[in-house]
Amino acid sequence: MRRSNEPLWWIPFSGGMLIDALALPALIVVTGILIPAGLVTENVRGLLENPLIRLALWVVIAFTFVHSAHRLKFVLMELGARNARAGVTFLCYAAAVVGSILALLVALGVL
Amino acid sequence: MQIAPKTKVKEYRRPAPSDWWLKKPSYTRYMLREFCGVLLGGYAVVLLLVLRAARDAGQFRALLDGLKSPVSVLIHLVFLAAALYHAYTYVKLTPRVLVVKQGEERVPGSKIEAAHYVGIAVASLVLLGLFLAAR
Repeated sequence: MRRSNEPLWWIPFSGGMLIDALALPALIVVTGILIPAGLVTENVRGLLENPLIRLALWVVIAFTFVHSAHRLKFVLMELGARNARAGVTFLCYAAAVVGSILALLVALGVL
Repeated sequence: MQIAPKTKVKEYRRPAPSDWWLKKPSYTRYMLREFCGVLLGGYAVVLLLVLRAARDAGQFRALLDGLKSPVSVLIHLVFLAAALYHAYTYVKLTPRVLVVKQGEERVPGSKIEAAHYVGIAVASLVLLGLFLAAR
């Protein structure tokens, strides 16, 4: 039987689970509640121009993409794409990798 | 000694209807967990837009106006529910992955879970403080 490459994907996936549990609730409160309530204003732009903050946010974005792609793969397969396992797996992980590279370019200010 | 001939093994997959996950609460919770993880990818796109707009004052102001719209707030509430459910399922998983021993005794799972909740609370407070201080 062919060896699965699943364990390889588990390292970034579990990292993504941890980072998302730690960072996303607070970040969602900022963009979804504090900004609409006017408690965080456009002055926050200074913080978001800081290269270290941009890099940290990129880490969050990239790990979230990988985490999300892994979950999406299982949702799609459970909902009936079981016979297309290889294709679904490739599409999900490829989207995560491409998204992460795009996000890095945005974080660095290239895009 | 005879060497077994190489044979192609085809995995047998029992056909399952696509609504199998509605048949049992534990299956539904599993699908809910996976689906919440998928939603978080959508929020990562929001973060990406924030990161991109932050380089230009005008774009950033427009983005903030967008974030203030009721639709955006509603979507964010869904994201928040998904993120909290993800955090909850993640913490519930930790005692199974992490075995901590204190001397000969195994640290009970409830303590490991509690430690993770404290970690999430601290991280959240630090992040909220960071953004509130920058207003």
